[in-house]
Amino acid sequence: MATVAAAQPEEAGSSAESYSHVERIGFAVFMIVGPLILLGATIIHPKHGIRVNAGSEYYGAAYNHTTRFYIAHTLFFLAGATLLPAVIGLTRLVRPTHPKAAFWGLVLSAMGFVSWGAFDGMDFMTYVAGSDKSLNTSTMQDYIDEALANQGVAIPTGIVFTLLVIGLIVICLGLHRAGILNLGLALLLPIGIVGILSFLEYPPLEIASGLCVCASVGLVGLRQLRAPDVTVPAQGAAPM
Amino acid sequence: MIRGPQAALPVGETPTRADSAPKEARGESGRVLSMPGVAVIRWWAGFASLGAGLIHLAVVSEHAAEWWLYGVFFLVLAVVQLAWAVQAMESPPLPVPRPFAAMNAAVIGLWLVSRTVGLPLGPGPWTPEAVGTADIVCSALEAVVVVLLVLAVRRPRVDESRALTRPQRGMVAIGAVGVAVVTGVALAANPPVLYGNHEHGGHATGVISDASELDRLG
Repeated sequence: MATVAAAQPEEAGSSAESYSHVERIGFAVFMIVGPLILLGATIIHPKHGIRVNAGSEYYGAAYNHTTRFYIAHTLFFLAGATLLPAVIGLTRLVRPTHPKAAFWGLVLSAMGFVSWGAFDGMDFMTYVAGSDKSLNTSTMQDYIDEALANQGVAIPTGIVFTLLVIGLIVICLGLHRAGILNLGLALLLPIGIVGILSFLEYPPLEIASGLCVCASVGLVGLRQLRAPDVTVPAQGAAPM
Repeated sequence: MIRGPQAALPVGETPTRADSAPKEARGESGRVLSMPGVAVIRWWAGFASLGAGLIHLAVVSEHAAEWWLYGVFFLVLAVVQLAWAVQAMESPPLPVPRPFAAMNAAVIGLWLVSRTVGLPLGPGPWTPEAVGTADIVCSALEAVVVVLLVLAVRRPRVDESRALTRPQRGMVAIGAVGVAVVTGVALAANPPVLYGNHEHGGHATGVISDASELDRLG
């Protein structure tokens, strides 16, 4: 019995070490892969205007460049799915020294990533409309124009997307204060995310926005791959 | 009204009755360390910068559509204002008050030039832009930030208490509601758009490459 009792803490210790190793490597991979997928999407995405009648140009991009449009938006979708664990990994690094920034950064970003999914949902619907060449294009342009101008859609998705931006800013400030990234490099993350949505008409700026995300999150990921395993103190559940 | 002993407490500690003893209410020089306005100024400046940053964030796409450099300017400005707001509200002291006040004053100056004689660069140089609700509100919020930061830097340096008193909480709440209302009004006047600005009344030409297809179907 004494042997078993002595072995338990040792086993628990090695399992914690093992978990911290898996966690560090796992999050590091997400921090590298997520921004790279995003960068790929920005390179492939066909440009479309964001001026007046943007809906028509948006639909036109799906109609004229159907395959590129589909691949780019699928990559955007996958980038969103992989960036969420990457952001969780960033907050894990901030948590020991700046728990408030880690908590609010994660909560706001996680809520904000829902809007990322909403945008992708609209993109996929536009792809389906653009790929079906038998549809009346004039009617479809009207429909897409109306859909994008609909304030019932734009306002809630816009507000939730703002939460993502604020959440990322909170995480960036936490990363800076924790000494993980300098402020300029950290702020490239929210700048890149907003830039990707804002510079659809300028492919070089669109790609530069993707590079901004790679430079901030990807760099942390690369450093994490080489960092030693550190167990982040866990918080136990409250007794019932 | 908060008094000195709370100001001298380590971060996150709750003041006890013993801490409130008058003998601890003074600093080394004997001057009372009470500065109830500092916390309120910090929060108000944070709210005002948050409001200005949100308005700038909402118009990034619209300005990028005009000229890419406008878009880059508004994007960077919005993120800097939001980051400063988050940092200011998170904990004292106010981050880089002088440079940030100067930056906001410069942005107001730039706005005044753009609305009077027009900017010398961009798609329409020296052409004044129309004044809108959103930009008036945004400039007003930036002016509030400048005034509050000037007030803050002119005061003697004090250790600010982390715990707000009830009157301070009331003042902070008033600031939050006030900025939320004016920012809401500005954003309602200039609502968010998906993939840029939208106007009814016709399609952009050349959107669908196959014109004969369009004629046949339309």
